Amino acid sequence: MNCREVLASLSAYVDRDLSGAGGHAIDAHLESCAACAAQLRGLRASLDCLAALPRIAPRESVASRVLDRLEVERRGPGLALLFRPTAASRPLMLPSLVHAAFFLVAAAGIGFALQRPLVGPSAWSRVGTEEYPEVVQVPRVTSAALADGLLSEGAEGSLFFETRLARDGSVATVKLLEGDASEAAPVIEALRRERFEPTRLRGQPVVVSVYRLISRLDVTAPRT
Amino acid sequence: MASSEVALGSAKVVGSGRSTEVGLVELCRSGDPQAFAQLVSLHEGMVFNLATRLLGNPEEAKDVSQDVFLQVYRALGRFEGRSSLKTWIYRICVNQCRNRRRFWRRRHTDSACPLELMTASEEAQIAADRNEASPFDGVARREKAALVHRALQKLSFDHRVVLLMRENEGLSCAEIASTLGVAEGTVKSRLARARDAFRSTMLRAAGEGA
Repeated sequence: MNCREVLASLSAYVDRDLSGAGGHAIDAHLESCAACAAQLRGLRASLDCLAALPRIAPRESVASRVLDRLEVERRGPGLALLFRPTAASRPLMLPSLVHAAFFLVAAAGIGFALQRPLVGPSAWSRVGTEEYPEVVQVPRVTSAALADGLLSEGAEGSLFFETRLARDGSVATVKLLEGDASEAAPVIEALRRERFEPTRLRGQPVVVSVYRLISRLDVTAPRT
Repeated sequence: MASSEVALGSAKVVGSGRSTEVGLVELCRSGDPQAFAQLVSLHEGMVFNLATRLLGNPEEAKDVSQDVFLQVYRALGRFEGRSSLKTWIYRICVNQCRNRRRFWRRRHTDSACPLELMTASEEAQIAADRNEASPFDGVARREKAALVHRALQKLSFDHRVVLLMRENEGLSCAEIASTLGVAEGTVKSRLARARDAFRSTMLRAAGEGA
């Protein structure tokens, strides 16, 4: 076996991949050929260096990144955005909710303090105007109520009165709006002596008007 | 992996290497994310190491590692088990590295290609080795590792693949043949040429450094 053949078989010789006869022939050649022996030593030394290379490990596992990418691919980017945890997908939403909650609580508190809703249907805000006067409870008569006899013996037609009440419940004025004034005179006197409970709106006494219609009609049952 | 125990959230696979591998693959096929995470953690070290050695750049190797396991996940349904899972993943890794290298070569000239550079992280990795008897050993090992790295980068890609798989990863010629999809004789002849080229390169590099 010559040097060229030995050098061509050195790789297999290092791997002990040669048959018995081939291996022995190379052994014999290497004992007698210093150049080929030096080639073998150089090869083994370089391969030892290669085997001794330190293994390089990743600084962080790629598993989580791979699973994230698979998740995005599986759901699609739009759905992935939707299905992310709320805090992760909308990091500014929670602080905004806190501010919104404070604002609502403050608005409700001010509303209760003023006893007027700050928010609500638009019709509420129109109550109290001329178009939609505020509704108050009908003031109750506390003294000198109108006598039934006066009404039964009085006028035969219809009388329509406006009684304006002061803040303390006393009668300020009585005005005949419709009817015979001569027939209404005793009724007006009686109405002026009446006294009412003070009328309050949102806790405050107010002036109100009470309208009365006094009518006497003959009603006959229809003949059958 | 002669014998191993793989603990999973939804299942626990205990047994020899081959049966564990089969069980893990079956769990991954059934869509168990924890099983796939386990599979990744078992093999990511070898994939990252090989990719870094082949490409010479840990950042590129990290991207390639992700692509490798994405492809593994997508192709798990086609894995027939005729080869071991490890050699199958190696094959995907080598193909991904080859594609990445072609991509860079199309975009850059060889001199500008960042894959040929010795990386600082590798230096740090070597320095972090705690088996050194003295600081001088550490310096010597670092210099030797840098020398080997430079010599490797001067080899052709195919030579680098067979050399790293045989000498650094410890695969047999039959496993390398299975990984690359070539005949075992082809691997042996390619390995002989790669060894010779590497030895020559190492000698030249040592002479230049001296």
